[in-house]
Amino acid sequence: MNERDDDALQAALKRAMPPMDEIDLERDLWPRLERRLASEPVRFAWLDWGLAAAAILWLLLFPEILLPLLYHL
Amino acid sequence: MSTHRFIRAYMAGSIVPTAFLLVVMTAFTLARYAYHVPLPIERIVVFPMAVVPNMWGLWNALYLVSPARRLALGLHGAVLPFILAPAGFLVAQFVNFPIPAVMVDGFPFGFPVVVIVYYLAWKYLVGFFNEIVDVS
Repeated sequence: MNERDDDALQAALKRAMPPMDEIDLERDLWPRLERRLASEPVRFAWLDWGLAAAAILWLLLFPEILLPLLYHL
Repeated sequence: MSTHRFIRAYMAGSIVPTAFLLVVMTAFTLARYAYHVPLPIERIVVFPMAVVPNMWGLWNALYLVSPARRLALGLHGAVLPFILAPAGFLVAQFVNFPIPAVMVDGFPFGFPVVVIVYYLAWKYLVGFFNEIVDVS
């Protein structure tokens, strides 16, 4: 492969792969995430508090179920 | 954002178990290599690493077209353990993982906890990410 072939290959590669420095994301989810976090905090329903407490109590009483629980998460 | 709804739903669904995977992997690694738990956990770790996050993503995408859409997202998520638990058992059988008797005996007590955790995680965490990517 001579120097002219190298130049042709280089030019072909440049045509095929445009420069990346001017490519921006079309949309950014991070500002949406920040706005959502800054908005009204999530309110837990009483039933959900009860369920979470029951699950924690259950885990404390039967710690051997922790590994199967992790297995499914 | 009106395009690629299913991909966005898939991403929003899979992000929760993927992030939690750090905790799972840490627990498994510590159990196996620090506390020398005599179970070949590395055989079954493919399940929480690959199957569970993909199933969460697919299940969330399915929620978009499911007739269960009228149900709350938490209830939709609470159904998933009824699919994952048998799948996890099959994977364990397939790789000859010796399931400890305490886990088999404790399944009836542990399964409701899994369902509760799934219900809460889907209602609050997956619901949160669904709002972010506009698929709620």
